[in-house]
Amino acid sequence: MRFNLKNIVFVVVYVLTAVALIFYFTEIPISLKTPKNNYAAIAIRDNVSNLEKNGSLVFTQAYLNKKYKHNIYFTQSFREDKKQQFIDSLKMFLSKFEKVDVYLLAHHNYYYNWFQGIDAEALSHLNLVYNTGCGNAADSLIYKNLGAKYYIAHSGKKSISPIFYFYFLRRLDVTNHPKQATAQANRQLLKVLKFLRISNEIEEHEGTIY
Amino acid sequence: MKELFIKHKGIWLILLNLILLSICILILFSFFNSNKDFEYQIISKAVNRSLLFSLVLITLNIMSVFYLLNSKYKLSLKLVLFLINFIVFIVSMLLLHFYFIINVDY
Repeated sequence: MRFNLKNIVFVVVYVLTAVALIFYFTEIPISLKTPKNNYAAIAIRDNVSNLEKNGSLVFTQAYLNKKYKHNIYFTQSFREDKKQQFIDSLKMFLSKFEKVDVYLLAHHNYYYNWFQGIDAEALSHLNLVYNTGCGNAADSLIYKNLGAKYYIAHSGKKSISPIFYFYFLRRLDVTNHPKQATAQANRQLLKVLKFLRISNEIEEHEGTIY
Repeated sequence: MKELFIKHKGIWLILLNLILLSICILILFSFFNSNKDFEYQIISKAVNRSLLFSLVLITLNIMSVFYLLNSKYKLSLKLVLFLINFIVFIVSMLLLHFYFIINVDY
């Protein structure tokens, strides 16, 4: 192995190019130095493949641990699985914390039915509800009437949440402002879709805040 | 055999890299698939262990770049080997990135 200047410069450029690509697509530095807030969060993943469930778990749990004072993450094995645990945990969080964020990581869903038995006073502590489901933007009024300050979902028939969520959670982690995080995540989402040359109609399915 | 190894060190290193990367990905996938109770600790342990793999992969990758630069292969072959090496490097860096996701409190 010869270490002449030309070779060393080539290797440095090689490594820097790879690092730049990784930083661009994964945004490693974006989650540096984020203060923990005093909120609680609850997340639920629907019944999909093990690989998807574990992927969501790794990504979400890591950020929830970092950002929130307390959090619980549920993974369902069938449609109504973990219903009682979810409701009990939500009630407990709503009574103990000033603000509670809810992440519904599921295909088209009707989780709002699970909120029905909780009293309105407690639900006033509901801060953010993010729903990844296709067509769940139509439920915005239901969640807003339940007491959610912000409801974020994907408009249109299909949801582009797998890409949006990746950027959204990281930006929410840094900014703490759902509106700002949504706008920034959408901008990033469109950049990626343009880069991949995916249809412009996708704009209909971006994250929308209500 | 020894001569063959010495003559094509760059290619052997790329092959070794590919094998190691495949083993690492297979281990991670098997952890992901066997974690039927979806325990975060199990997954984070697996990802933390893959740190060593990714560091070894990155080191071997940089070594193979040096060997390729000094080799006397045709330019087209060199370019193909560099491209394969670069893809392996990016995937190794992504594994490292997984580690950073898990340990976001750094």
